[in-house]
Amino acid sequence: MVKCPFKGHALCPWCFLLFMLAPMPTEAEQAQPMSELKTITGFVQNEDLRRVPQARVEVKDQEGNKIVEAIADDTGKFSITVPREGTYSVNATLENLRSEYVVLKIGTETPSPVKLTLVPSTELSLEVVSPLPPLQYKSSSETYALSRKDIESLPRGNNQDVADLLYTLPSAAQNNFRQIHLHQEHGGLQFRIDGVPIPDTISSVFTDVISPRSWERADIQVGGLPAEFGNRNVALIDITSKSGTRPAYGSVQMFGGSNETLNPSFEYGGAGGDKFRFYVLNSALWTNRGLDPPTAGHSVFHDQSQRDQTYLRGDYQINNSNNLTWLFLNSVASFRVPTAPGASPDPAFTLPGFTPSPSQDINEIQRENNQYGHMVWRHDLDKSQFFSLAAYIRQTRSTFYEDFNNALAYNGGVANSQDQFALSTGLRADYTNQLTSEHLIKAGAQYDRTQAVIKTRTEAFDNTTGNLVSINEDNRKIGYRQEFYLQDQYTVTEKLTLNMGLRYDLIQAFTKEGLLSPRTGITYAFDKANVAHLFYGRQFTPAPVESVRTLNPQLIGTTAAPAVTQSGTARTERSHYFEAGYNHAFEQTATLQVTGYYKLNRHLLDFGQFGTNPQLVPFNYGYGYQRGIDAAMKLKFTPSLTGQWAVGWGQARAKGLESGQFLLDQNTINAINSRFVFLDHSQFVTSSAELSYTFKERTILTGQMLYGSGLRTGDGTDVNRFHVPSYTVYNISITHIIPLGGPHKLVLGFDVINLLDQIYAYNIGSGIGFGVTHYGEPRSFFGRVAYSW
Amino acid sequence: MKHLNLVFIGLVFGMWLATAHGAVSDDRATHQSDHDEDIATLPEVHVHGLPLNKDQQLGPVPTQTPWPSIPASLDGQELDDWMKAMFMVNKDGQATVVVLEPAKHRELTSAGLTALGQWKFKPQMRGDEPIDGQLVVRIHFRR
Repeated sequence: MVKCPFKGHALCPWCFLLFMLAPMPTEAEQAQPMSELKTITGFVQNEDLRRVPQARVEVKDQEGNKIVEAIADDTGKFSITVPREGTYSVNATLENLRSEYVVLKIGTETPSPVKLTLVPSTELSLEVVSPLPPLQYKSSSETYALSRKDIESLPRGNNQDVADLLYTLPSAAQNNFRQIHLHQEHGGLQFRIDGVPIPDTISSVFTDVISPRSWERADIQVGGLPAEFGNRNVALIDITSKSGTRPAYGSVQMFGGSNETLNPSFEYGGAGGDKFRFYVLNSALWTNRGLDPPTAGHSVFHDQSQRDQTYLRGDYQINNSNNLTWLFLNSVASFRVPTAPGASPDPAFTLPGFTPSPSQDINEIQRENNQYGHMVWRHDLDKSQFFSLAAYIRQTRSTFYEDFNNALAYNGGVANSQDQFALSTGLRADYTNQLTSEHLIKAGAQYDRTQAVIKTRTEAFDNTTGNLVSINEDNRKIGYRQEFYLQDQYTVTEKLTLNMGLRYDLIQAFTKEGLLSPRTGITYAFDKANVAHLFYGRQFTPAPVESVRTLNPQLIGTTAAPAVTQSGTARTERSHYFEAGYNHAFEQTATLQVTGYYKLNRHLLDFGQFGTNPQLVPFNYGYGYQRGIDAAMKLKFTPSLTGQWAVGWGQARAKGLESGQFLLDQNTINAINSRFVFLDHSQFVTSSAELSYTFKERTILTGQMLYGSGLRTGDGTDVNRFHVPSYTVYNISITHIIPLGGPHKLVLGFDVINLLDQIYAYNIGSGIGFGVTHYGEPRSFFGRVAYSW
Repeated sequence: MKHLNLVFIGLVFGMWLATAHGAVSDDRATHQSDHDEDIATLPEVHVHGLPLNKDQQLGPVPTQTPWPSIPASLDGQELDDWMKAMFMVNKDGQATVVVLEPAKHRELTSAGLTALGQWKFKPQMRGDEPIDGQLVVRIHFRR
C-alpha cells in the first residue's frame, strides 16, 4: 500500500498533492530511531557563510555543566546525541572565534538543524529557539508571514513594490496602478509600522511609500481582524521595520534593466552612544514604464517616471521601560500619463488655429508628494502591562497637469487639471495587559483630523455659444475620525481560544456616522495539526475624505457636463463579516490553510478611475456582498527547497447606486439599479505559486507563477457582465552571494519577469470605473548588484 | 526632481560619512573589522562561570545565567526578534542591566530582562584587583 510520506498512514486525499510533489524518503529516512529525537545536528560556518571544519561544539545544561562535546567534520557538520530530554545550549568555538549560544529544548520532536556562526565578537550572544507549532492556533483570521529572507528570494529581491509581495497571497487580484484586491475588495489594506497604523496617501495606489527594503518582516492577517483594527478592514500588514544596530551595517544596491529602469538604493543602520540608534534608507527610480500603459506588449508611449523614497528612523532608549521611536517617510514622484497612438482629434472641439499633436504625444503629467512622520512613546508599566502613545502627521499631495488644448480635441471638449492635498494629524494610545495566563487584554483609542483640499480647473465649450469656458472649483473639507476598542484574547483551554472585542468608530465629514462593532472569533485546535476558526464581526469603512468628489453645477451647460446630474452623499460602508477557516499541518513539511468568507454590505464602498486622470474616486452602492474561498499551502520539502501555493475563488456584486451618479452614464446606472452587477475589481479565480531552491547556502533559484482569470468588463446594460481574458505570468530569478570576508558580501541577481512574454490586460477601458485600458508588463530583464557590510 | 534626488543622495551620503568618521574617531565599535585587533578571547566559560586566567578577562564573569523563555502570550506566533542589553558589574560583583536595543515584541524584552536580572557575576579582574566592568549580551528569539 502506498503510504503518506509525511505521516506514514494510508495516503489521504489531502496528502496526495504533497505525495506527488515531494521526493520519496529513503529507507534510512523512513526509519526514525528514538535516538534521533535526542540528536542535535547542524553545521558551523563563518560570517561569510563558508563552512568551518574542526570547530569544537559543546552542549551544556542550564547549570552550565558540559554534557557532551564534539568536533565538526571537514564539511563543518556535527551530530551530538544528548543522554536525556531537557533544555540545552549549543555553541561552537575555534581559536579566538565563537558562535552564539543556541538554546534548544530536546523532547518529543526531532530538533531542527542548528546553524552556528563563528564571529570575533566580545559580546555574548544567546539564541533562544523554540519549536514553532506548525499552525497558528490562537488567531481567528487568515495569517501569513513574510520575512526579509522570503522577500529577498522572490524575483527582483527587495526591489519589488509592496503589491508584488502581496500578490503571493490567495485572492490577491492584480490591477493597474499596482492596486491589489484582497477578498474581492477595492483597497481596505491597513499598513502598520511597529504598532502604529499608517494613514493612506492620496496616491498610494501607485506610489509605494513603504518600501520592502526597509522591512525586517511582515505579519499579515486577512479577514477576521480583532477589535484593535478598524477603518481599513480587509487586511492588516503589520511591518516590523529595520532599525539601527551595533555594530553598524549598510548596503548599496543598483537595480535596473528593461524599460531603461534604473533603481539605485542605499541603506545604513547604526548607533550613536548607548541610547540612540538610527536607520536611513534612500532609493531613486527612473523608468520608461511608470504606469501601466494603454498599449499592449513592449510598445509604450509617454510613460517616463521618476521617484525618490526616503525612510528615516531613530530610536532612543530612555531607560529599561521607556523608549521613543521617530519615523519619517518621504516619497516624491512624477509620472507622465501613458498614451496610445492612432486616436483622431475631433475638429468640433479643436481650438481655432491649434493643430493637435498625434495622440501619443498628449502631454499629461501627474506629480505626487507624500510625507509621513510619527513619534511613539513606549512605556512598560511592568512585566505584563505595556502602554504606547503615538502622534503622527501626514501630508499627501497629488497634482495632475493637463495638456489642455490636446485634451479638448481628443476628449470630446473636456479638459481638466487637478490638485489634491490632504493634511492629517492624529493621536493613538494603546494599552496591553496580560492579566492572567488566560486573558490578554488590549484597549486603545485614536483621534484623526484630516483637512482635504481639491482644486480643479476645467476647460470646456459652452453648449450655447460654443465659446471656450474655464471653470475653477475649490472644494475643502475637514474630516474627524475617532475610534475606541477593547478586546480580550481568552485562552479557555489549551485547545480553545476566544477572541472577543468591541470597537466604536465615529466619523464626521460628509456625514456624521458611528457604529458599535462587536468582533468575535473562536479558534479550536483539535491537535497540533488541525485548527479551525469561526469569526463574526461588524465593520465600518469610511471613504477617504481627500478623494471624495462632488458634482460641480457650473459644468452644466458645457461640454464637460456629466450625463447624469445627480450626486448622492458619500457614505460609510457598514458590513457584517463572516469567516470560517480550517488549517492542517502535514508534519513539518507543509501547512494548508482553507478559509471561506462572506461579507454583507450596506453602502458598499468602491473606487474607480473616471477619465484619464490617474486618480481613484470613491462611490457607494446601496447593497452588496463579497464571498469567496481562499486556500494556501506552504511547503518545506527540505531546508533548501521551499515553496508556496495559493488560490482564491470569489465574487463581489452590488446593486443600487447611492453616490457618485454624475461619474456614470444613465444606462450604467439603470443596470446597477436593476440587478446585482459584478464589481469592477472582482476576479473569479486568482492563483500564485513560488518554488525556491537554495544551493550550498549561496545560490538561490526562484520560480514564480501568477494567474488571474480576468477582472470584469462591459458597458451600458451589460456593465461588468464579462471579464477580460485570463493570463498566467511566470517569473524566474537567480541570486548568488559572494562572500568578501567578515560581514562584507556581494549579492548578484538576475530576474526575468513574464518569461513567456504573455500579452495581458488588467482591464480594457470598459466597465464601472475603468476609463482607460491598462496592459501588464511584457517580458522584462533585470539585474541586481548589492554590496553590504 | 533630479535636483531633489541629488540633494537627498548628498544628504544621506554626508550623514553616512559623518557617522563613519565619528565612529572611528571616538574608537566606538561600528564594524566587525574594528575588532580585528581585539583579543576576542571570551571563552564560553564566561557564560558558565568556570574559573578563568585572570589576565585574559575582557569583562565580568557570569556565574549564573538562567535563560529566558518565550512568554505564553506569543504562543503560536512565528518569531525572529532580538534584544541587546549591557551588564554593568561593579567590583563587588553587583550587576545592573541596561537595555540597549529592545525587542520589537515588548513581551520578549520583558522576558529577557527578567532572566538577565537573575544573572550573577564575578567582577572583572586586573591582575589580582577586581575592577568595574561591562558585558553586552544579545538574545535572539526564534521560532
